[in-house]
Amino acid sequence: MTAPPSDRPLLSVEDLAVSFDTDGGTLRALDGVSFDVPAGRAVALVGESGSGKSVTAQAILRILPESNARIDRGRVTFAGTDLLTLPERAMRRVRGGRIGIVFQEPLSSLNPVYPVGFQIAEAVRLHRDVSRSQARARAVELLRKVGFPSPEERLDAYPHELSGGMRQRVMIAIALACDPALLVADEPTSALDATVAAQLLALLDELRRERGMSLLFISHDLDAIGHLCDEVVVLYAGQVVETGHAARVLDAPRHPYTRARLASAPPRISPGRRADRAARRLPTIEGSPPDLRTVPVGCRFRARCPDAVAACIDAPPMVDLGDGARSRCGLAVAADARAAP
Amino acid sequence: MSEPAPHPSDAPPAEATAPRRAPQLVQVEGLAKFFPVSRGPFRKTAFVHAVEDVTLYVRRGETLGLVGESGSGKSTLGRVILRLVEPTLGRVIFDGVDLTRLREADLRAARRRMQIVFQDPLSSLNPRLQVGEIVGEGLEIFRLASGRAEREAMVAAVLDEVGLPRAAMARYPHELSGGQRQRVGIARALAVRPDFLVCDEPVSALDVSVQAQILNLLSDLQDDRGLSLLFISHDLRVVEHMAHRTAVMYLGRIVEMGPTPDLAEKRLHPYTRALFTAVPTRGGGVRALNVLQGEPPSALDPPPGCAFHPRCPKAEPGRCDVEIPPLRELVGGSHHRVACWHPEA
Repeated sequence: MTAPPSDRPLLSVEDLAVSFDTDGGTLRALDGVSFDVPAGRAVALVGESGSGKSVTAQAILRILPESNARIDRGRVTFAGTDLLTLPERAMRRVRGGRIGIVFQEPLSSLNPVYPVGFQIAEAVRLHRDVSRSQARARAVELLRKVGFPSPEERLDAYPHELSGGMRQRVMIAIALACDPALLVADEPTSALDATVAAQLLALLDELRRERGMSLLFISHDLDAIGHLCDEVVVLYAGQVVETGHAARVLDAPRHPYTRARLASAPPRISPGRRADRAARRLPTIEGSPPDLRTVPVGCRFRARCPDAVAACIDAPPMVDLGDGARSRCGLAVAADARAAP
Repeated sequence: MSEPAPHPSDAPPAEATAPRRAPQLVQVEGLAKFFPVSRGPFRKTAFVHAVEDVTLYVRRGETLGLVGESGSGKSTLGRVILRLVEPTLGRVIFDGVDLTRLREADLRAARRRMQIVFQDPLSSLNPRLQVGEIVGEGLEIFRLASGRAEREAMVAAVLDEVGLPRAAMARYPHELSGGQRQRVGIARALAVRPDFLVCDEPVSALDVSVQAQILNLLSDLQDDRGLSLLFISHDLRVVEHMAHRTAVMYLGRIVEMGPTPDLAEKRLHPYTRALFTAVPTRGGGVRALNVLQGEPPSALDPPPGCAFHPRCPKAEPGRCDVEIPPLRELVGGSHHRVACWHPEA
């Protein structure tokens, strides 16, 4: 694989649709998801549980459960190669090679019966033609890189002997073993305590900048992504509802879902518990996301949307709002048209 | 039973004044819980000091927030207060009665008045029972309803109070969404008309938009029923929103406690400060996150002196690693206490 031309995105997902066979019928987990990860940029994929963010990552990496999931349509292009049509042998070289992966729960991703140094060295040897001692030296270097103060002493530790934060650092070391062009991180800090999660976010940010690596960061935490990512892709019920520059989406969301979702988080440093009952109430999104076994007609957020109008019964197209911002809402267009002279 | 607790009609709004002056419903004194841990057949049994020397109170109608990271002992503390776990040392006084001295039979009456809401309703609700049976179980145990018809009416009323339709009575937990299940967990606790509710990470398993619904519900219930809450969470933001006063735990001990606005503003303990700055805010850079070094030490082998000293930027050798700092008020009458030899000024 050659380096992509700089004007082409490193990863491009186009019209991706994935469904699962369930007892209750076919569940359309993703329906026409499209977004790009430009080279050297950090893109966040955010959404609630069931929105399809992890399924997107699994489809890109082709690690969907074989028994009941299938990719219905779409294209995933990574550095000029179509990943969905790649033979499995070649895909194995991509996974853990040019695309590194970090999952939420390191304890279930690491092999409990091998020392961590061995597991890192194996990752190196799987993708590179190096000797055992070279791979071991590389493991030491990687452990130091991810913040182990005395990596030589930790090479022979087993995963269960390490804390959650340290295990996640080992996962990052394995993901970095082959200098990936893209790191896919699926909720990498969700299982960690706040002070440890902050360390990991800072580490990811530092490594990414230092190596010019692209990052696809999957999270339900809109605040964490503001720190780490350049762009945001918001998913709702299996569709992209909004994309744009991170700061713009967080400060001035265009889609009613993004707006409601941002408002429902407790405010930072509120002046303690307000005496006034009304002031203390958090804005909520009534109801719950639709059941994707029966795909709703029209806008998928319509039933919960405070701004919904009769026209929302027609499926809204993704509307380009300029400056890389897009929103799947007819009202956003109308509002912008009114605002513009 | 869904009637609001009587408020004196001539008093100012309850939430503005009641918690600050209201009598103390729960008093905890020098509470400790040590769990034995076997380290193998030929080694001495060790003890995890899950909770150590905790003294606190909760007033009527007040929410005390308890925040800390995993392993800090906050969940154990909640359970020891309810005597779901027997304390090793110390006393829990509930409405004037020392619970730690009661025999199991005498504890029954107090049990009705103290209830708990768990983090994960799916694993804390019996999957084989319908919602109506789950919520009505306590009414039966404590003989609060005189017959089947009255019990069903009481269940329907409490379901209504937590925002569930009457039809939910015939559903099983797995048929409900996460938010609805947590409403069932709250209804189960409320059905027996408690005065004190321990909420152990009640919204941690929920998506943010559903979290907000449950937080609003708990606030409303507190206002309507005058409930006292111990609100346990690892999420500082949620605690800040919910609690009148907040206690910060680190490795089994309370390191700072005070009225939430004061604690949030002054952050006297270096650990409290680190917790606040570790929460990302929109727009701030990653480097602006306070990155505290290291991770919480093991409660099996806690560091000597102040347990936070190995990670503390202000640790003073010869003092912080030797003497355990007492939880003390820096300003008399402020009700803001900190356990630190070098509190932030």
